[in-house]
Amino acid sequence: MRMGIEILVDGTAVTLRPDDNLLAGCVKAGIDVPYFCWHPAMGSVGACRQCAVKLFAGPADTVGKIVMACMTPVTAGMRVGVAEAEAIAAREGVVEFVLANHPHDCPVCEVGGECHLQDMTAMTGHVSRRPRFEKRTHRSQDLGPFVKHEMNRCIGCYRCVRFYQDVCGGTDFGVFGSAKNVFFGRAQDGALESPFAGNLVEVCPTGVFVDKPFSANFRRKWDMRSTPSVCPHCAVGCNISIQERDGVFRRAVNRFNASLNEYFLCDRGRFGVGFLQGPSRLRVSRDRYGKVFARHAAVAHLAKIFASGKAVGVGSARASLESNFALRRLAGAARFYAGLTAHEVGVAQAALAAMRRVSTATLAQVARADAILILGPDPQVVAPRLGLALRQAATRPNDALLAAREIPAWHDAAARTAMAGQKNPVFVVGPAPTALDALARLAVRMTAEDTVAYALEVAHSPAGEVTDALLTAKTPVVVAGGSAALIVAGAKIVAALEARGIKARFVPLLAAANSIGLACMGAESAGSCATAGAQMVALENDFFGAAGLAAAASVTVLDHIETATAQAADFCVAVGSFADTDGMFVNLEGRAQPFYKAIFGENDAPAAWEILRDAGILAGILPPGTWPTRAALLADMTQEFSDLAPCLRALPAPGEPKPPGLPHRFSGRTASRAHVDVREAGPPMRAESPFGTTMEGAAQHGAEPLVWAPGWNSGQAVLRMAEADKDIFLFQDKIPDALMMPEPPWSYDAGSGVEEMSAHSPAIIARGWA
Amino acid sequence: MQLVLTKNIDGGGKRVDFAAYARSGGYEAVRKVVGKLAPADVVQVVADSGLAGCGGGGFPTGRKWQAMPSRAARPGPRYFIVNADEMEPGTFKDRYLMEGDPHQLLEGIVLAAYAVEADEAYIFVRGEYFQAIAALEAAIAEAQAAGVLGGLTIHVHAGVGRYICGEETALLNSLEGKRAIPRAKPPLPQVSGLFGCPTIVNNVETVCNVPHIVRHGAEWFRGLGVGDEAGTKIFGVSGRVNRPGVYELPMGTSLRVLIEEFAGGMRDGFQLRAVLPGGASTGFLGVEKLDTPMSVAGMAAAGSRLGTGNVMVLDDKTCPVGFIRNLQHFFAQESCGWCAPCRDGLPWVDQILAAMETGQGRQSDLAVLADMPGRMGPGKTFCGLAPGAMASLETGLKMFAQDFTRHVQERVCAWA
Repeated sequence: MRMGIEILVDGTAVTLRPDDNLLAGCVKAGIDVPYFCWHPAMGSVGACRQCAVKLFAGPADTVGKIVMACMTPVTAGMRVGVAEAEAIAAREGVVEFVLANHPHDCPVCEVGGECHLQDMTAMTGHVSRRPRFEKRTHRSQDLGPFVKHEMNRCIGCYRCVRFYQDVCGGTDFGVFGSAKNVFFGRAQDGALESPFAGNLVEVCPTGVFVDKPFSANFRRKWDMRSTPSVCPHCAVGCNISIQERDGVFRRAVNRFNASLNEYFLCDRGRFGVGFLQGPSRLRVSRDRYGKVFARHAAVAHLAKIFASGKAVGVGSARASLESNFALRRLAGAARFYAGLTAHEVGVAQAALAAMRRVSTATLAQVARADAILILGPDPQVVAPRLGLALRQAATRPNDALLAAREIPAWHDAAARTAMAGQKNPVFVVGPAPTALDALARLAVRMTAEDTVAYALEVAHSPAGEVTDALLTAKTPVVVAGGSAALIVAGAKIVAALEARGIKARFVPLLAAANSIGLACMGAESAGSCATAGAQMVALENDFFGAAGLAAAASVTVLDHIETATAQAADFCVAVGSFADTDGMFVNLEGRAQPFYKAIFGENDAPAAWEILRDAGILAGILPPGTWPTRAALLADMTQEFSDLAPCLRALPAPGEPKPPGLPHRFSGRTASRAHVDVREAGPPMRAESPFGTTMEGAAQHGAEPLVWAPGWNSGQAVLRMAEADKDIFLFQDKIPDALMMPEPPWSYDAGSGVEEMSAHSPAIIARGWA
Repeated sequence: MQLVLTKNIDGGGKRVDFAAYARSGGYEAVRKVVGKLAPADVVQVVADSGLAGCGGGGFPTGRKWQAMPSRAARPGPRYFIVNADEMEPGTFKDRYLMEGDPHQLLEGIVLAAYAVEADEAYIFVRGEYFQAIAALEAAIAEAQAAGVLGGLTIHVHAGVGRYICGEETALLNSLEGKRAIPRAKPPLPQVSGLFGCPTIVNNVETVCNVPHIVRHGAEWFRGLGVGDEAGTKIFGVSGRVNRPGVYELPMGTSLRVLIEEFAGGMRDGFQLRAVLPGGASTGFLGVEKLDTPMSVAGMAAAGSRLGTGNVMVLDDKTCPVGFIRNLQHFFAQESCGWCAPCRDGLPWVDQILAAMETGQGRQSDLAVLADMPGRMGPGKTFCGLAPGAMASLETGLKMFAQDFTRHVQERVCAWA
């Protein structure tokens, strides 16, 4: 806990954090100071001049001077006037200026109602328009299938270009022109190249950059249910909110998590979730001839298979812990396999072994690391948000330099000037180029086998450029993937550093949302499971592809998308996706994360584990009354796998108040289905969820499904919400033999970077990423 | 009247070459100082001389240099930069110095770079100053051949026509190949300047003073001024005077002496109405202020600024609203677009004044104009461009209130 600094704001004592600037401190303390160019993740540059406040030199100073709060450090006893007339006039004046050319098209703007510009305008009290001349206009560009461009709305805060160039290292988007004609865009029309471009939608304080698929499927923020969720498209598991209306997925937005994704997502995540509304959803159970089966018939079909004793379960690295566990219980541990290649199983097992032995880094720790070694494939391809964290670490202002120049870390403009393009030590060693090579102090190409040998050498040798950088660092991070041998070698480097008292941390590079969760259950690759006469039950995976399994007697697929495996299967059982059910994933940090039912349609498929439970009971494998709730299943699961025991903490405590799932302004509840039935259906009931399903509920800062605060309708309201501290980390107790880990045989696969589910999202298909 | 900076220049556009410059005592200071006097001692002489920046800010040059960390404290590259991006409307003094006597500037650079321990120097010169660029390049070649530059490399970098590049940190960004927008201070350029290295940026005229100070001493330099402030100053006069041009006079010479004696007074048929004493970024002074000394403190006391010391004269046959509109139009165009008040406020001012000039002004516009200086004053914008622009508007609105009102009420410009 940091010590606070007490200052006087309009005569009232307020305690702020010393590492915040005056603006951030005031906003977090509940004092409304409007701003545009400052962003909590990007710091201060002083461009918009919106956060003017008065600073008094001492108790005797009655005049004071106007300063920008975002550029002002917090010092003990400082006297600040937010409500001073000159400051109020200055702030209203800036809003009047930036609105001079703004189109005021709020009623047709996607951001209307959750617009930072609207919030700030209201905050300054500005109400009437004086500029009377022709507005400057721009031609907007086609920026591809993800982001819509409406440049006339621009207020010139420069957040977009700072995010795109400074944070993401993008080069195809920038600022053009000068004076009143500054233009934020590309040299010519074309899809934004950065894999993080979608964040522009949230970075922009108004509606210049809009989520294009959402725009085509639009509802106002206040008319959507918002549910905390976890991105299922890679092993990072970024926290997202799923927003829906009328049982239809509308969009995914970033959900702030201070130790994970903070403010940014990758585009595969943000737009990949569109698979929920894509053309290849599997919504009803059917046989291979297209005959539709009701839930009870599907359960009966599965019961018959499990009762036959010939069932073979194929689990999934993209399915929940719950569903994998249920399938394993029904098929039996010996007949439960992973829908992964032997190579992938080896990688995941090596990662699991490493996580049990050495410290793993959270993404936030990666972003603040002072030296980085990357072994193997490109993190930005396999786990894009991790790639962004690594990029942040490389370009982050150096602590020692900032201290020497007396520059606070939030002062982005000064820090960049002082850094002058200097990079923190990043080393990339592997067989193919990576997106981080350009930032690396050293990027070495060598074969996968040599990379392993090289890594082991680093682990054991006390000299060399890389070793020196890691040894002189305080919080170095090693990222390894692509090969079990490389993961073990990377972990050994971390172990060697830890043995010398350095707070080194490891990140295994994994591909799927629940790679570690599945690895905890210890299944072999399904590549070897097809014995003659086996009745295959494949859970949410496309392992077999269109070729199917000649040796198997039958293949039954439980899934929510029409994969090639599903198309070739004898029987498909429709189950709920991550957005239709409750469940948990374990990410590459060893963080167990719950997701919740976010979409409430009419004939929603149940979770796979529920179908499997019913089939198990029907088949007599499970006693009647097994797993009446998810909590009961989790209790069973954690009994069997002690690694997973902390997962129980994700369950709501009995009697815990439930914050509302619908916004306080949710409109048309009684009318939106009136064309079907004038009688209003009751709200969906969710006894197990920690969230309410209606507009009613206990406001409970920290874990709300809704990011909203009085006067703060945009996502920036997160600054007004307490930081939730509900993160659950597995593998906290380490086995102390990391340096002795057996070295697996080497083999290498960089992975394709194409994730199975996101490949069914219309936007991802349109972008050419499927 | 002692000429210091312009004593070698005949005004005919001919460049003083190396031989002529050397004959007049040129590069004597270099021989006297380099390798013989400690750099810190040179800094001290300049500090003692009272030399103040001649680019418009008037900041004491010695203090600027003293803020540079020593080479021992900050090893690595260090830069000395001459700001020759003279784009202030009505200001043409640096051009005169560079075209006429480029070696004087080079000698100043050698001495200044020695003082601040810089090993590389840039002259960031306005791109349209073709003749100055040619003169500087020729002079550098001569100086190099004569071996007077020592180990110093001097680059001539031509700007591409943005007023904001005259702001020293925008100049640094431009020199680095980045967008020409000002940087936040702190860190000062002395600490994190060009490419993050310790850097000094000085105006041409400022640097030209250095050889003379080093040669003749601080005491001598202080004695050149007529008031409290030191040295001579290159003043310029433009407008409807008989002899517009540049004049080197003692610091502290009065406006009246400059305009009436040196510039020859107003042309026949024109009355002096007001002046901008220090270029486009300073506020108007009326006829009653003509006896104000042209010094940093004198102009501040009179309610304006010395600025570049280049006087723009407004006469009675010129529309003051049109005069101000012309200036505001320039500043609106030259805003770099970085901060909101300047980028979006100046064009609004320009639009209003343009409307007034064509008889489209409204009473409500006057209230808007009156708000603007407060909205774009010092501290409210990122750099000094908009506050500079507001100086003429703020003082003009007061001084020419009746002219503004007439434009609106009669819906016509009486001078048109």
